[in-house]
Amino acid sequence: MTIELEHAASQTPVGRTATLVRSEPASNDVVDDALRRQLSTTTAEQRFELAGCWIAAAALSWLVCARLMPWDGTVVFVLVTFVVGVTLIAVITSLDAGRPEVSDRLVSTVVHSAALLVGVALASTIIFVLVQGFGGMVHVNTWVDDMSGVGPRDPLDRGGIAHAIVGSLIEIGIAVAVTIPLGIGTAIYMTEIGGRFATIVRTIVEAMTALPSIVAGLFIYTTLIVGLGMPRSGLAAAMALSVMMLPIIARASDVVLRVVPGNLREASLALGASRWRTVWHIVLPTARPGLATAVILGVARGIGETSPVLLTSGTAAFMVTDPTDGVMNSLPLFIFSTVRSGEPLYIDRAYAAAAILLLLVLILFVSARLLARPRKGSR
Amino acid sequence: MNTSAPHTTARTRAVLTALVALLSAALLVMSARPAQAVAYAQIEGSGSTWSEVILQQWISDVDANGMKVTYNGGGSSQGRKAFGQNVTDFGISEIPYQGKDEFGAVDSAGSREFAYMPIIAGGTAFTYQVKVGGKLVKNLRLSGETIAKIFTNQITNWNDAAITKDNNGRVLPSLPIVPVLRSDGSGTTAQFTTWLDKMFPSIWQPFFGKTGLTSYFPRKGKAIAAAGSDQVMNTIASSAGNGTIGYVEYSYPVNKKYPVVKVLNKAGYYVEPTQYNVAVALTQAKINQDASSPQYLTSILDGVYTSGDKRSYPLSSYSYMLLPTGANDQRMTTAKRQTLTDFMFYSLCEGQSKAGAYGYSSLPLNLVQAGFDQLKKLSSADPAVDFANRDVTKCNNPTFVAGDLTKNKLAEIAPQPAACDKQGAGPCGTETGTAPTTPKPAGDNKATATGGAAPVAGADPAATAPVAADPETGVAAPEAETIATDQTVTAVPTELVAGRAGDTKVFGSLAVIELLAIILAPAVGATYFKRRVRRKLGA
Repeated sequence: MTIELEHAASQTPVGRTATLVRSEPASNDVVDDALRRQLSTTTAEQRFELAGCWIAAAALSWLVCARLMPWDGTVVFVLVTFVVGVTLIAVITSLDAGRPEVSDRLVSTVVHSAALLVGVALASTIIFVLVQGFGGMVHVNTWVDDMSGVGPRDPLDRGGIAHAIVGSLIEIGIAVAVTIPLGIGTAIYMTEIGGRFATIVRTIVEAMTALPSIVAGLFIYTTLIVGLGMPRSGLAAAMALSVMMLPIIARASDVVLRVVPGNLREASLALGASRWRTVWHIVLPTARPGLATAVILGVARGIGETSPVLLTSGTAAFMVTDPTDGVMNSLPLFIFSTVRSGEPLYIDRAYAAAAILLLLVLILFVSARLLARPRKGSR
Repeated sequence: MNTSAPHTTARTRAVLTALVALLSAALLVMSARPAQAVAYAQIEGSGSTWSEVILQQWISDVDANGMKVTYNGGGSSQGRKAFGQNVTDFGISEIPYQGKDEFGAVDSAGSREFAYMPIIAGGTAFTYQVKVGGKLVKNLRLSGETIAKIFTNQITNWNDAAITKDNNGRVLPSLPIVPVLRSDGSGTTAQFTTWLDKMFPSIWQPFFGKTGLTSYFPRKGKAIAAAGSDQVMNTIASSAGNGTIGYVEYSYPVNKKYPVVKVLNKAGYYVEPTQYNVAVALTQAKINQDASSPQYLTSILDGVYTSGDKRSYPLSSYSYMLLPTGANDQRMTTAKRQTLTDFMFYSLCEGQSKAGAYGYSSLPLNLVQAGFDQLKKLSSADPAVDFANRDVTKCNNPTFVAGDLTKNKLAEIAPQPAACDKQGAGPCGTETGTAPTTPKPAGDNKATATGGAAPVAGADPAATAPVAADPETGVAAPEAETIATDQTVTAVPTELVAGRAGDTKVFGSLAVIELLAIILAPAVGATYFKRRVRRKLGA
């Protein structure tokens, strides 16, 4: 934006003398690189100052936390380090720089720390789960065996969570099969057909996005299980998950379909294609990567949900592959029921299951991304 | 570019297809399981989380016999509700149906016929974190009244005279007591409040504002609440948990290697909720035989709370199975009834021998007999159910002699409390909350001596020096020092007048401010003066 303005200014001599107040050279072609102010890079001195400040902050913080105040714990230490570090940076910078540079440094420190915090939170979650789950994951039986005949105190080389993995895959598979047509269909209705009723649908979908997951479970529990007398089963659990996933997929697909350029639709319609052909051959293929993201969001919501399955699926300790035939198990439910037992070996199994769930989600996401890549040759 | 793109897509497709094929192949292999035995059918249950671990053990044990049982612990209330709605084949609950729950909703089995059957016993344990000189106190003793006052916020500091008296004069440091409660509806809370209501109505009822038990402990004052026993345990065991006390199942502190309170019984002994102490107490449990009462066939624990046996743990209780006894029960079939009968026959008999390891307690003879009476109702509801060879004389329960029900094996094997656990003696130096499988023989009071190294003062290093120089500043407990000589577990807290806890913070923060000022002031000053000079020059 500014560069364009400057270009315009350099081309008109009147503007150049009248509007430019900056001392820096305005046009690109006459500037010597050495004269240009590097805004994004730091000098060695600045880097030295920064490192020194943080080292000093850590040292001071140790002094404060461990020696002067009765504060122990890593969290307090990090917090004190951060506060002292920011103060030190402010003071050191203000020694030889003006106020703008001080505030620039402060803000950049805070922003970088925030980014670091998020990164650390994510990394620590993944690393913690993987490290804790490692003991269980190295046993082959964890991957291929189920828990039938395995007691809470039996060692980790007996029993496994294959039944939970299979149960999770089946439940999420059914839920995806139900929600993809329904969710994308709803989105197509909202974007392609529209009208007053579509607004109502959109409002409902948006309201349902915030539905607490336990309510979805209760809904299926009262209607299908208590009302219709269906047994607690994988199918009921998949239905509860579908209730959770449907609004997410519909909402995200709606947003994606709305950004499909209107002139593509117009071109298709102008060539004499029907509305259905336009949607099927133009709108949906154009929005493919976005729709994949919508599905991924839905699956991500569904696969980790515990409370809808808690009420609807029951927990089988053995392999169940027929979703209509009685209780099933799934990874989140297995984790939930074992991690809270207080039994050390159960907790180890739960961590292994959590790590496997993470891997499973990763595999699902990568394959969904690969499948939904826009075809390069076709366009 | 355009020529290579289809190839890569094709390759990834092939890889993905292979992956899918592999997964489904694995699925097929894993699903190819031997067929179940014919006589049994899969049964489902849900309910108490308190009993879940032992149930999972039993389920895994009977799996070899072809019985497929599933159980998920969603809480006693949920278990009662699901059973009443015909969703499950059996339910497990710590308390009977209440008629109406705390929120006025109906809590009953509806039209479903059922019977209460005792399945597993256990004690409500009180676990705590109190540190003296950085070391965890592991042998705290409390009387029932003190516990009631602690949880109703009448005793708020660990150095309270009542606590000191329970510990035979040993003073704990001045530290606020933080009770940790269950925030969710819980059978453990119900068991605890039943005891409070029966034993200390004058303390409990004004606090609760009502009479009777509750599954939701009222949260007042300093108390904090956590969802689930695991989180109560984690709250207490956390680094900020010094001064907390909470009630959980015995297995949680045992697994976490945390101590439990020894509770005073009627005979004047402080006892731990070990499997034997609970079983001895439960020999006094009565079953309501009044068929007209809404509490028909539920337990009457008054005798347990006031049992005169030296070994009995007062807060002992057991959980029930809700047994579908109706002949026309819509869920039950002969195969299901047979499975339930055989599953419970195993659980009541051999299964009970596994209870101790998990912090539960085996059911004593009287409750096993009551259980068998209930279990028999399944075969009377459906004559096709085989109950032959499944009665109490064939039972291989560790607390009684199979075939000779007059013998009181429990009284022989249950160890007597140590002499130092008597009221007015001790306290014992042995740790609590250790592995319950290996009970110490009666009278074992051997604690390794520590020599004279016992009295370690509070955590303040600056305050330790004046102890020797100026004895007047220290308020030491004279009796405590003599006891401390044969103790491994605790040190004696010596609170110093000069070293109050509040002062550390004040002087500490002053020192911090000073330190920061010393470091930052020169730079700030330099900047200020430089600016001023610059401003003057500019002006």
